Amino acid sequence: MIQKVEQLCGDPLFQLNLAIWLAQPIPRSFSIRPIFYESGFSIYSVGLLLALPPGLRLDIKKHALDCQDGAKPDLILATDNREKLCILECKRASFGVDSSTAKQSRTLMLLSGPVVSEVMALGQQVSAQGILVYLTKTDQMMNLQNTLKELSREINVMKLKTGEYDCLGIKSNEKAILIEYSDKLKRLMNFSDVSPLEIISLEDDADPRPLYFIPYDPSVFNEQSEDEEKLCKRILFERFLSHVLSKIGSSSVPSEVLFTKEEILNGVTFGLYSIWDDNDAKKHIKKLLRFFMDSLMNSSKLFFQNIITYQEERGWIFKLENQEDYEEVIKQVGKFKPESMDLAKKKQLELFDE
Amino acid sequence: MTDINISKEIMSIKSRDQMIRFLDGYSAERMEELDERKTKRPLVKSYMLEHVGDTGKMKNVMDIMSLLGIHTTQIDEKLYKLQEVGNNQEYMGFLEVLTLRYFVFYTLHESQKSDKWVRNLVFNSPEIDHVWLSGLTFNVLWQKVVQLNRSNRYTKIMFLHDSIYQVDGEVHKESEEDEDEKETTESFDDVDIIDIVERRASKFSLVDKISIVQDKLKKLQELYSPLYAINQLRFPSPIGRGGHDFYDNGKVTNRSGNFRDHRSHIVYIQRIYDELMKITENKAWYSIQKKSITTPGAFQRLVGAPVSIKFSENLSKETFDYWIKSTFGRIRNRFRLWGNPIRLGSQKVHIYGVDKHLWQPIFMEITDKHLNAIIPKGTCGNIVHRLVTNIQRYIDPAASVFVGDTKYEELVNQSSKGVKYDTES
Repeated sequence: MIQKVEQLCGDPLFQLNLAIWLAQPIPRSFSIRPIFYESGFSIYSVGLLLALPPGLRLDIKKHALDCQDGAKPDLILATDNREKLCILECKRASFGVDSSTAKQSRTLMLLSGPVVSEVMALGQQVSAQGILVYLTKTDQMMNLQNTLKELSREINVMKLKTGEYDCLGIKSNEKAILIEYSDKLKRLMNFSDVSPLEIISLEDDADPRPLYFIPYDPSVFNEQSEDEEKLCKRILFERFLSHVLSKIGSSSVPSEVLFTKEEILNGVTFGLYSIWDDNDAKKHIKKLLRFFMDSLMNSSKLFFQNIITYQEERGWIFKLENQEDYEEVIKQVGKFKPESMDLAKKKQLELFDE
Repeated sequence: MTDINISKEIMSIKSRDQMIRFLDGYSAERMEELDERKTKRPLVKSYMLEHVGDTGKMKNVMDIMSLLGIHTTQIDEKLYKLQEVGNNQEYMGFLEVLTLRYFVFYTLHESQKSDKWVRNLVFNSPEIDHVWLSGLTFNVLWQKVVQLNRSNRYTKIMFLHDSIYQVDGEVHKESEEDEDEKETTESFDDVDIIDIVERRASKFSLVDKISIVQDKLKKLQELYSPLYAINQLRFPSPIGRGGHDFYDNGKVTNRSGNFRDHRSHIVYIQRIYDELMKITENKAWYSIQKKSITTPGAFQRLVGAPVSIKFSENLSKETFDYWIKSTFGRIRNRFRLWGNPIRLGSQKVHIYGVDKHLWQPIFMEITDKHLNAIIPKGTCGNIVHRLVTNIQRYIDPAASVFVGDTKYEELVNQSSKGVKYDTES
């Protein structure tokens, strides 16, 4: 069990969902200890694409610093008065200074520097302090901190400025999942408790995963273990199913109920799908949706072939001619089990290759 | 009095004034009969209903009823007569539109008949639901009863808790019958529980002076938790004997001699409920809000707050299993929820499901210790109040409920502050 929890602590999608829960207004001594919320931070944005200001980009070009024009951190947390902005990135493992991730990291360091207020368009009244935080497994913290120090040194040598940066570690013991942080980060993030802090109590045989806000994240596509990926795919398919069922259930009869791909995908990702800028990932999740809808239709082929038509440019159209159709569709959709689908990684990779 | 006569009387009403005078007189007659303990005709009953759905897609009441096969005859801008379409073409009662979101149905038919009729109305329409007043809400409304009345007035409170998922002993004979047929009937005063149960099942009423109840209720609740599960509360009439009995599913029986006062109480509770819904939805709705700003790009902000229900005692494994199996293993279940539970432990499941009352998504983590729910934006807030009502009735009467980090009772308190009257009703 401990081994499984340790593995889970390194899953970036678990880390992202955990970070979202840590910023939720939930009562103390409940299932999760929301340390971000308790220290005054709430979610400012999820998956927001940030661009470096033009003046800074010219300086970067002049010094030939290896970084991107912009970056999209997993999460941005902010205090109510916007005096502190925490740019949070989830990572399974540390990375080296020559890796592509280092390029993104330099960008995030610059974005969280003195330009952060401008980058976030906060206006001149607010002078925000940017804090770059990497959420990772505790055993990766030291290496990652060393990498960050080296990257920061590279930037400072060029007379460019970074913001504050540090790591939040996740680990587990027999009793709980804990968050570990330095005294410096404790001060920066207004944490009141000493590190390490128990954030989720472990039950005897229960997987400590909280409900997932984000069941799928293109940026961690190849970083999950097969089991983790299968579970996340199951969650995604369950959400597809609940979306379809709720729309059919609330339809009037007779009617034609149209499901566009964009509508379903936005519906199940709290609207994040429309803001993903990764076209491969979008294509991939669209294929997963197609796979799901095909499986649903094949679950009762004889019945659904007279009910559902698919049009590439529009989507899926459910034709409900009478009350009997309506009730049978509800029955058939309701009894479909995504668990019975082939959730294995092999299938996913095949799907990814067009 | 036959149903035909009731139907004819309803049919003959042509104006609001006529309806009010008729129901006022009718209520006064019933009060006299109640005093003599010989009621010859059914009491006036009202059913508070909510029109659910997106604010932008609100339908008018005639369209909703038409979809249900019910004929509406308009009396005035906000008042209609409802008539069955079919062989008997029976008039069932009056429907008043209090606001775009809230309706109230007044009827003279027998409880057994009208309860079933309203239940079917709600069951067959994804756009109409009962107004749900949980035990926790009633506990706050009780304070209004105290403030509004003299301390020597008599009141009545009914408590209903039935641990239907509690399995005592090793042998449990599992019922395969659909659960939701019984969903609401048990709350009505005409039905008795007659089976012999070997699990916690409390149903009793208390009639006493307000001052005595006020003095004892809290202490009694601390001693015996099913007393938190108030499912009916009487608001005494300020102008005579008796009062207005509010049930947890929005039914209100007029046991007073005055219909106008009956309606005033309904309007008052509806306003409190409306405030409660607004606060719940504002707090609990999850969505990514996209706000365009000049540079760079768009802000995506995840807003909302989870609904957390903490059980006062851990559920036993048998109770937990039976609850999950009964709810998600049956198409028709008491909670009217659908979902495929993802097992994350012997006493932990995640459900990315649908609330079948309204056909809207709801995501839940259920363990032996708590229930956490995420409600996507657009899902009607009454799902929270129905969930709390049912948890108190069937699972744990003393459960604590939070929306975000705010206690549920605090939300009800906030909702009831400042609600007085307006000049348009």
